[in-house]
Amino acid sequence: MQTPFFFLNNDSKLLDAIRNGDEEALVELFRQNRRPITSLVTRNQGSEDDAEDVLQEAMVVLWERVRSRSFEYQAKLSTFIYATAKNIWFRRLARHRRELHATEEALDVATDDASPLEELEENERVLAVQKAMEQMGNPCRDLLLLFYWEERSMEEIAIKLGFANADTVKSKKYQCKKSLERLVRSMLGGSDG
Amino acid sequence: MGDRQLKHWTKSVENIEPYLMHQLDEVKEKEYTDHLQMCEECRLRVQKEQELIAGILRFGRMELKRRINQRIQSEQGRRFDWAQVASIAAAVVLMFAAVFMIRWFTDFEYGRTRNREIVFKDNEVSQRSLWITGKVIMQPRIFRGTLSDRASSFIIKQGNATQTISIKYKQLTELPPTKRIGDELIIPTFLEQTSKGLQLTLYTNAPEQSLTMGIEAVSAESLIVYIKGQQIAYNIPGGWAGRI
Repeated sequence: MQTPFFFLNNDSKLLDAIRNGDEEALVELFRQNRRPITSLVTRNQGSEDDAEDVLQEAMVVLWERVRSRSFEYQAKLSTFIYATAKNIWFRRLARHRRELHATEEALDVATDDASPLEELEENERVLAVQKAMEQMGNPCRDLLLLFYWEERSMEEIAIKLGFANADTVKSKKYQCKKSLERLVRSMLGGSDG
Repeated sequence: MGDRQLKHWTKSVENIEPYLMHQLDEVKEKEYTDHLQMCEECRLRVQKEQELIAGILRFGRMELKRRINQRIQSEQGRRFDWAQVASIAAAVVLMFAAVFMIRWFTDFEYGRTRNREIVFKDNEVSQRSLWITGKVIMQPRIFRGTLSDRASSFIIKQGNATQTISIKYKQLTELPPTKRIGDELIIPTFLEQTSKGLQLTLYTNAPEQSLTMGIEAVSAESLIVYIKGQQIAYNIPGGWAGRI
């Protein structure tokens, strides 16, 4: 049972690195999983570029899950990444209404629904918020990301960004959100009430 | 929780955020969700907040994706350069080694079967020493160059360039075992670059005192070594003079 032990050990190192915010772990995982994902995507009407993009998205999903502490380690990381990438790819295929070969793989993941937030991805206001975030300066940008994306507590954010305490973060976050909303409104021509 | 209380929950972002971020317990989340079905105003407020959060998340994801991509691209660039250099170097080494080995062994093989000039390719000439084996061509000929008894050194002039070539001989018994091929007509030669010029060491089974050696540059590219009426023709494309 040497091999599984090695993988678990290696996985736990990578997971620890991700928990500590080390993005290099994602690059390592990208390298390790590139071949199977490329094979999966290219076998299913995709190109190598599609495969890279899908794998990067799977890395982002893993990052989010681990950083928000919602990741449950039940199988090897490569299994999680493969399943996630497969899910992303087939959802994308379905969205673009491409003709799918009726493979079992496709049917297998068809029931894996997107979350309500993911469904909003292409919404005009969502895209405007994304653009507004690009224009926002720090500490607002980091603060909002830490709170919403990484789901950090006010206390953690205070330490990370050097605020006096959680209350200061809370008040700053309120201001930042207002600034963001103003930016979005101006981008959408004031139609955003 | 009554409907009136629920109606107000969307008025505070502090209520909406935990709902959208699934931080409420299941019962409360279900109550809120059920209420949203009946309250258009609440639904719009939640949707606006939802879009704001979705945009922030999208930004976070895109930024992380961009950073991953950047790292991979720069890593690929570094790896590509290194791989390219290494593969070119390996190819050059292999090419030289292969050509050298092929010519080395084909010299032995051809030497056994037919008369021919020994042709040194450029890369072989660049070796500082080289074993060559050629068949002695048993044709008498008129010498046109310098020939002297037991001569050991010759200067060959080709245009403005000169090359000093010395010849020495050794008994076949001194020939390293790995070079013995059991055919008297084959004369192995060791070509070596020395500080004085080229040196050809020929192995023969003739008694030392009976050897008469001569060397002649018959063309810019051809050199003939004479040993007692026998001759070995060597050819270097591009010429002998100044080549090593």
